[in-house]
Amino acid sequence: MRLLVLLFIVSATGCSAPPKPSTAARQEAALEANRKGEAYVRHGELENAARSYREALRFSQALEDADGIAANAINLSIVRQRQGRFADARASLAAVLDQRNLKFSNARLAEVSLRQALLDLDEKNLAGADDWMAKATGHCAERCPAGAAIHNVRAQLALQAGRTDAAFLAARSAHDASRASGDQAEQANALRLLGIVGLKNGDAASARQHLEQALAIDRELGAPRKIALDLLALGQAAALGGDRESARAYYARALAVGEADRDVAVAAEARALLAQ
Amino acid sequence: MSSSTVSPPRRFGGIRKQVNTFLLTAFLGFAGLVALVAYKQGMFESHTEIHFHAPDATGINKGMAVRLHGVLVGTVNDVQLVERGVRVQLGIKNDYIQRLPRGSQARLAREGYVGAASIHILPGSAGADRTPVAQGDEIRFVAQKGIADMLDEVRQQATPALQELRRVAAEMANPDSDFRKSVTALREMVEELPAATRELRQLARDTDRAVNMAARAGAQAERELPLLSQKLGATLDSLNAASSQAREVLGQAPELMRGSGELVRDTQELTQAARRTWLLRDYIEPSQMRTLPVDSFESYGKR
Repeated sequence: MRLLVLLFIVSATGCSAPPKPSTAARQEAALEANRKGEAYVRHGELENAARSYREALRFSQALEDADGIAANAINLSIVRQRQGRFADARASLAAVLDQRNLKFSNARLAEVSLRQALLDLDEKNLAGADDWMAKATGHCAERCPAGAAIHNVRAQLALQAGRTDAAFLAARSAHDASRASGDQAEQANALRLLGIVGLKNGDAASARQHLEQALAIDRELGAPRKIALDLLALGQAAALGGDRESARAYYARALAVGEADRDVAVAAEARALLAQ
Repeated sequence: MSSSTVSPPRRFGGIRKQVNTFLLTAFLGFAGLVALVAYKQGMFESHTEIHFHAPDATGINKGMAVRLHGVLVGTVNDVQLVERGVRVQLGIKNDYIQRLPRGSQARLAREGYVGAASIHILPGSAGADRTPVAQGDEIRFVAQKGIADMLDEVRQQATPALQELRRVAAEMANPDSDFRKSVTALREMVEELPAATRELRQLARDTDRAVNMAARAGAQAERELPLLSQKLGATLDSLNAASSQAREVLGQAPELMRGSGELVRDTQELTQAARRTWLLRDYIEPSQMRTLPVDSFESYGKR
């Protein structure tokens, strides 16, 4: 009986024009585009990822879905930054920052401010990054998912300004926050920063200890760029301790990882250090 | 004159006390019943109020149960008409509030297909905001589709696929179509293969015989050579014809590949439509918008 009903429905559908997409269909389309974007990012197809996230953002805007708008705007800004298209990355975040009529959660606003700070940091605009960090901290309440990342960016800004003490304190806070929230990626970032602070202070043993912990986590997470950065810093720690042979071995490993991951910047830095 | 006050008969002695005791017991019993009902309704538990907006309040009633993984965690406190449709106020027991992250979604569901309706809370995915909801927070509502919507969707998804199937069937039936031509060419090629093989085998035998004879008598070989070259020519002609037909078949391959790609796409669309039908959707985890991790080292190493 059910088969007959199904056959009737299917045959009836062939005689009609396609209807206008409903809200649920648009929501499904936004999710589909979001999933496609994520898959493209995983395969390194950034232009396709940007196209999918733009489409998902458009669908979310059409439904006034605040969380969907924020999620896709953040994703699009990350992809555009990786492509080196900073103006486009900022423009995508404007979908949240310029939209005063929708209520975004504080956690999302903190993430958007943090993304702006990272863009400023990439463009060496340290004052701008400081301003956005203040806004991110303001949005971030007691328990904020982006808390550890905010501390880590603060540590990077302090390192840029040559304030190693402040960088150490911020990286230590990031380490504690990431451990509490179980955010392993930010925990590894904090350990790497503590290692870099050790290098700046001339403490090779401390640097090596933190960097080896960071390397173990990054390997577990399967993050090639971070692994290469850990290896480069470990090489510098070995060189600081006077072990030139170990330093060259670390640089060679970083070069192999950078070339395999097609990371031009990391590979170039490894080659420069090997040539010294 | 004697006193006009009427004293109750002896058999009603202490009746006032007994009536008072009865009334007090009845009152206490009633109050206890009210308190028990209030306790069962959760009136002595502290609640946190959250809300969601829905386009339609059909099936949502005041007092309806709110469940998390099937456990009763609160009730619907109020349903108000607003510009965006309806605003549904939920009272969540504070004992369960830690288990409701901000990225949670609400969905109207039934126990089975004809059972009582309730609001089901779906906790957010790992990528969503994991901080617990607070007083006055809004969560998202996943709209329940009606039978008309579902039929519309099935029709929308199935129409292009059916049209495509109809086109493919018509093309397959047409004797002048690329598909039929490919099949005919393939059949002709296959039919010619045994003849070509026989000729090749014959050629090998003739060559062997010719080589043996050439070793014994050069003159006789001279006589056989024209015959041999003739057969070789015929074989080469057959091979040439076969290769041109094979080339033609290969020329049809891109068209066939395109057709199969369309079929795969149509199958995906039908699968998506099936996932949204009422028979399957309750068994499939609802999808959520995912965010790439905001990495504090995104800019590091480029400076």
